[in-house]
Amino acid sequence: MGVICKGDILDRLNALVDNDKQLVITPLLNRDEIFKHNSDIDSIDLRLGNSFLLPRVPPLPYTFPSPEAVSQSHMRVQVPYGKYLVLPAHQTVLGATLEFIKLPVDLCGEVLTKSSVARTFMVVETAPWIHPFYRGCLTLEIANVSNTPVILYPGRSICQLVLMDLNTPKARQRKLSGTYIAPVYPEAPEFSDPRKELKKIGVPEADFILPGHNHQRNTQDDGVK
Amino acid sequence: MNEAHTLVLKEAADLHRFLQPIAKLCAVSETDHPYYRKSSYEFFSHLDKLIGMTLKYLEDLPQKPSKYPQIQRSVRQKLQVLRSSWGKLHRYIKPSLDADALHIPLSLLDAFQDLLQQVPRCGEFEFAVFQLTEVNYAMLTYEEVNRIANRIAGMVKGKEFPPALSLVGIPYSQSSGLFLNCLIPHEMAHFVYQERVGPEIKLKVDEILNVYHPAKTGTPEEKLELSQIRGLINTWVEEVFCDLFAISLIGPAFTFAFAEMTSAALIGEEGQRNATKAFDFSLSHPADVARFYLHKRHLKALGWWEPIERWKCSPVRLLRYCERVHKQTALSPEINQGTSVRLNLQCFWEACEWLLKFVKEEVPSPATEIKDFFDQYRVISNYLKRAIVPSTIVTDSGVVHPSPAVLINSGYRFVLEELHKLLRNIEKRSENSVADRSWYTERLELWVLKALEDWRLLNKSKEAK
Repeated sequence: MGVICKGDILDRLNALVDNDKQLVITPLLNRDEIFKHNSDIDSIDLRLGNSFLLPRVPPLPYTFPSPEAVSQSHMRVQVPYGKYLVLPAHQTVLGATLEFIKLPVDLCGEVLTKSSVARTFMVVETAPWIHPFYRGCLTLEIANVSNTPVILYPGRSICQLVLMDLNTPKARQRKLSGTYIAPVYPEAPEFSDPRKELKKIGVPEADFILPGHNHQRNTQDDGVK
Repeated sequence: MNEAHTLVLKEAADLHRFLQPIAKLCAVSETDHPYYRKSSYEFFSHLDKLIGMTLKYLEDLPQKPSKYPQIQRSVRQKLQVLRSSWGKLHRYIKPSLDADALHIPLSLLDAFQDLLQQVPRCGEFEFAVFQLTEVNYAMLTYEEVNRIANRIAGMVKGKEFPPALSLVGIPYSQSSGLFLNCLIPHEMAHFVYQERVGPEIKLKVDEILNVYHPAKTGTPEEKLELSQIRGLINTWVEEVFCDLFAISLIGPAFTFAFAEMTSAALIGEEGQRNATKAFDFSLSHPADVARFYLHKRHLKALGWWEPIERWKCSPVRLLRYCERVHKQTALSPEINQGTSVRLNLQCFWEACEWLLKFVKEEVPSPATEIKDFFDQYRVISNYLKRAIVPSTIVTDSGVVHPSPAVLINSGYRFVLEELHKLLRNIEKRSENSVADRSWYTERLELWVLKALEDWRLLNKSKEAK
């Protein structure tokens, strides 16, 4: 596995859509600058998109990762280009890259916080790995871990994408799959029912405790008074 | 205390009290969340200033009673007019506030406005959006907003309503949609008719009316019927103008959206003819069948029809059908019987013949866009089939950023003809599932909306260089 650089990136961006090696990064607003003669790039800067999911104060005193969490956990906000979003100290927000990415079968990628952004104590990505064949705007888990509020301007460079080729490329995938197919906005997490997930590894439903339910009361209900 | 003066003070204070909460709503800051389009800020800013002037007018009313009772009566009448005028504007403020950046198809509206501003004599037109509770699209006329705002301005020494600003209402539920919102250009065209071309068209329609329905002396009933006929023909012609304008602006996507909105797919189905009012000219609109026939004529004149007639989708079949049966249209029973008997529909058709030529000349639809659409659709379709936003496509001739008209029509054609290809490309999804089709139609709309936004950014960044 190795990091791919300018020539290879450009060839892949210029490939036709039915070419297995085609890479899509759109819109590349400074394409000419990125690929000018004397540049030697090993990553592509990505910009912040203009849609955000702000975490809501949950109705319960905790976040319970269940199917219901999707609608309860976030509030969508649209910030036009030129306007800004204030991210308070020690707060988080889900954003997305302005660029829509499509990786071919033989490439994977990693998203890194731009160093200048990182030095303001902003963490932009905590699930940075992008699998081959992925398509969509990348959802960014943005955290302000500093002690002061930070201003976020959609359209500004916020992270960088490093692309790596696979030693053994995946077999050509016929169909798209996955939880998030080609999102263009940040999307709230989708969780399966934890009961069902745990049941698959042998945890009986009877042993499952829903958060917020008084364990002692459950045992009383079971007749253990 | 003078009783009449006390009444003036009370009514002025009541109006002041009534306006206070509205003033707070209209004080929308461009730096506060939620955000709006520039034209909405212009609308709020105008109302904000107008309401400020109204409050000042009220606060500046003489505190001492006038010697002349007629002056007090006149002030009370003014207060009544102000109250009723603000009452009328009141109905559009909340729906406009609800139409913030998150609750409107932002990139689509920007694309429509860009296209509108390219039309000669429409370069400065802007439109703000408000939400409608009905599943309908509407433009507020001069009478509904401008005249009322200007009446208030005249009384309180405020400024004139921005003449190039119009208000378009869209259904509140369609904020993230692409396809149905392709009806918006029709509403924008009403503003063009009102502000620019209406008098010219009316003049020509009058010429034609004078041939078929000459003004002559007769009984009061006959005169009334004649005036109704003139009103109806002008109303129908305005609607047709707006349809043709929308097609010139965005191409067949308007016709497809119109077919979806009117559930017109049934028109051509056997046994369904009586189930629809599509053959009836109503008080407010020409028959849908007539409109579709004229759409087809205009699409043909612009160069869209020849290639799209081979598309295997219901709106294309519908257009062909309407061409065959357009002469079978009739007047709706809701039209006064006397008027119906006298009205010669040939007059409408003749006006439309002229209108087809007029719109083609006045609203040039760039031939390059039509050519680009037919050159680029196959590639865009391949991107959409693979769930890729088609804002940058690679064709045999290199990297291309498709224009808004190309993107909108490609999206529409894809959903009409090739959605199944996308569904076949996704695991555990079925082209026979209503839920899957609905979900991926929404996804497709988002991809095209994203491509429209990208196109604008790419263009702006090119200009910035």
